[in-house]
Amino acid sequence: MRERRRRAGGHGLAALAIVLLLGACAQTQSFLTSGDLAEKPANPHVLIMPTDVELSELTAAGLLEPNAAWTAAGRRNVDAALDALLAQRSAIAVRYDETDSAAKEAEAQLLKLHSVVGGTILVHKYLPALALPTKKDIFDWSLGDGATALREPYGADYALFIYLRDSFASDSRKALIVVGAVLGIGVSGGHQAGFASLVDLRSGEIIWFNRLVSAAGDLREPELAREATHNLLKDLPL
Amino acid sequence: MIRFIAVLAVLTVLAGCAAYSLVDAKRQTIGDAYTVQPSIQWSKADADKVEIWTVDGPDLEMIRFFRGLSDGDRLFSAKDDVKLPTYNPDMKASEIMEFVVDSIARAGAGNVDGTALRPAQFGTVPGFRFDLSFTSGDGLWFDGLAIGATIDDKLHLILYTGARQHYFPKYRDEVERMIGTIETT
Amino acid sequence: MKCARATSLLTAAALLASGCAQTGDIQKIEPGERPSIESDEAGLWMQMDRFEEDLKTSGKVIADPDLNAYVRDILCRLKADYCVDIRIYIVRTADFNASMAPNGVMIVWTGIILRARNEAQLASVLGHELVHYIGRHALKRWREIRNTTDAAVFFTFATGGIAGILAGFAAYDSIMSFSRDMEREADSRGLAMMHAAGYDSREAAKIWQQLIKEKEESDEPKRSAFFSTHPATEERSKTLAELAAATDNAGTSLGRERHAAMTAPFRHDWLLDELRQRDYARFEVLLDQLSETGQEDGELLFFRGELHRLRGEGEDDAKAIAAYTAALESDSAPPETYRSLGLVQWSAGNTAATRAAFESYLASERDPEDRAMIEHYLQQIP
Repeated sequence: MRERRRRAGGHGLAALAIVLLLGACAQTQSFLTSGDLAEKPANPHVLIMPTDVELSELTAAGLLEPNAAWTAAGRRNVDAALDALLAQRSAIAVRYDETDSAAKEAEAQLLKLHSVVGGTILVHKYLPALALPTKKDIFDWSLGDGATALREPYGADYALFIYLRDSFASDSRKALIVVGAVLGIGVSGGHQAGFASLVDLRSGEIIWFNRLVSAAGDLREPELAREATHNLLKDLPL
Repeated sequence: MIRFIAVLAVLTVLAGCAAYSLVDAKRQTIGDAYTVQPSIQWSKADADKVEIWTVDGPDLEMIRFFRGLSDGDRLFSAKDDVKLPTYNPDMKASEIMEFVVDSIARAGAGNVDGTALRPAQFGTVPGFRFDLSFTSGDGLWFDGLAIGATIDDKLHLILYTGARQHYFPKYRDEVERMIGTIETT
Repeated sequence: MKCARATSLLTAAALLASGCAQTGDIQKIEPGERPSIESDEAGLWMQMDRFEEDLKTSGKVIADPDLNAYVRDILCRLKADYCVDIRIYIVRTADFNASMAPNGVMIVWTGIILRARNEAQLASVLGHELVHYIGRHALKRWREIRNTTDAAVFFTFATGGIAGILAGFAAYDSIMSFSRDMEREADSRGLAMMHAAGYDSREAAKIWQQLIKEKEESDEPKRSAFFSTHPATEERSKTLAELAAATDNAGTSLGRERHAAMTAPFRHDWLLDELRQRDYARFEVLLDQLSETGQEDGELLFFRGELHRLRGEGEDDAKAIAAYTAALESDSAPPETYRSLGLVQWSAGNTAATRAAFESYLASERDPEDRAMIEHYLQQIP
């Protein structure tokens, strides 16, 4: 049976590459909406969008070679960590229906818009040289009224998007890291990078956004995946 | 668009300066040809023959002011050896719309459609307007509106585009209002 | 030089640490087979699966059920047992190629469907791609190159979004260029496949000959992603012709009418894509080739006129007027023909003819949505 996963963050990948190249060293830096936070229901229904997790092997040639088995493990671990975290906050996790949604045009467009907004935030809020004066000390991006395309079918108050990339040094690259250290060239060992966003589906606003960049951690290990997930979502306003 | 930002990012970081400056809600000069009066603030980035205004980020919505394209110019920059549509001053409005539509298609957009071409005043200069729609390289629907005129054999074009969902409608009224304030010198 | 030393150290380390690349013993893929999740092949499929999801909503895929059924039908005639594993995506682009991804995604560019003169030519292209899939060439190639600098291109498409991926595919038959041996195998097995399905195998060489002619005339042959990655096209065409000559093609079919009928509703859009490339010499050759199949119809004449109108050099105005006029004498001129004729007449200073053309444009049965502008033109003409 072919498993179909809907991806939430296609466009964000290119933006993430830029952030990694040029970005600041801050490990996590989150944003909360400048607007008023609408009242949170006692048991908020949170729609978990398919976690866009990919684990790769960083080869000697500097390539990220995706590894399906690791990715499956990483996804399971992150999903489990999410469930636990939300339960702790008395929130109800609702899972997005991944069966072939290319047919649902409005949803597909909304998810694409979210990707573009996420990429925009990564570039203009995390790269000082590209900061927008119109967003100075302001964080107010929205998906607009179209968010009802997710609110209604799922009865959800919020949607949570997670995007995580993890790469590991293959054996040949580990050899290089040693070599590189000797020559004084920084050869990275593999890194973890991601972002998460929380959308209030009642208004369409992105009320919370966080970027994660760290050089340690392994999503293949449940405990470390839990740590990475908690790190990413630690000041989630739920 | 991400490629544009990537290039801009590298250049500005190297130059050590910020890419975007603030546009205040007061009369602004565009090229040396005309002025407009915005009623809200915008963030502006400058390139050779074009300046870009945005509030939320150029991938979401932006006004592009093309400041005087002349004979042989392309709408968007590309490597020299790539053949792209070029402007020539003998073009009628129909051909200018074709030039813009074909350029956007060559830039990677899909389903590009220019419609409702009609005469319009660009300040006191007789010009033209048309509407646009297209899908971005990733398949997100965008809407657009364009107004332009030829002044001294140069094409001045204002192109406002934004994501169909939320962003294009967000500033459409403001852009229309601002078009009404064009004063050609 | 620090950089050069570092590079050689990198290569040395890579060779030491990586061990031998396993390229031998890759069996052909069976119908319905999927790689086990532990394998490197599964990593390739996973990446391709993600790309496929993006491709579906990219706005570039032609969903028309009849066109898709036609292409699918050809594929299933070639290899009925594999055809359920292959997902065909017809992608709108002016370049001519078909690309095979290791997970069963076959991308057929509209440029190749436009240029195929008949069903047999299209079958030769699809058969070629199918051989790459059955032979697991992508996996084989990946294992050969994964520790070399060639590998850099392999997954870099992942950072380009869908546009980057499609650009990558336009350049290669797959996500990377196959080896010459693999291309030869795809050609010869593909030819056998098309012949077994009842198609005239001599058509396989012809589509490349047509393309070579187009390339020769082009102002800019390097622009084509296909030609830049398949330099041995002449040799290939010769080999295909020789292989075909050795087969008995009596009673085999071309499928010219069926191909023409199935592609007719799309040809206008696809020709517009070609025109947008602004490679006039090449477009002219393409139009010449498309009109070889019979009388030049109104649509082709219109596009010939557009070529001259846009190029606008020397005798182009006169040639454009002649082409549009001839188009209007047929019953298949697109409605925009009058508008284009008006624009050229105006540029040539023929005011009465300009007026007549624009008035005819406005009078055509379909109410034009640029009416306001054309009426404005009529007021401007003396």
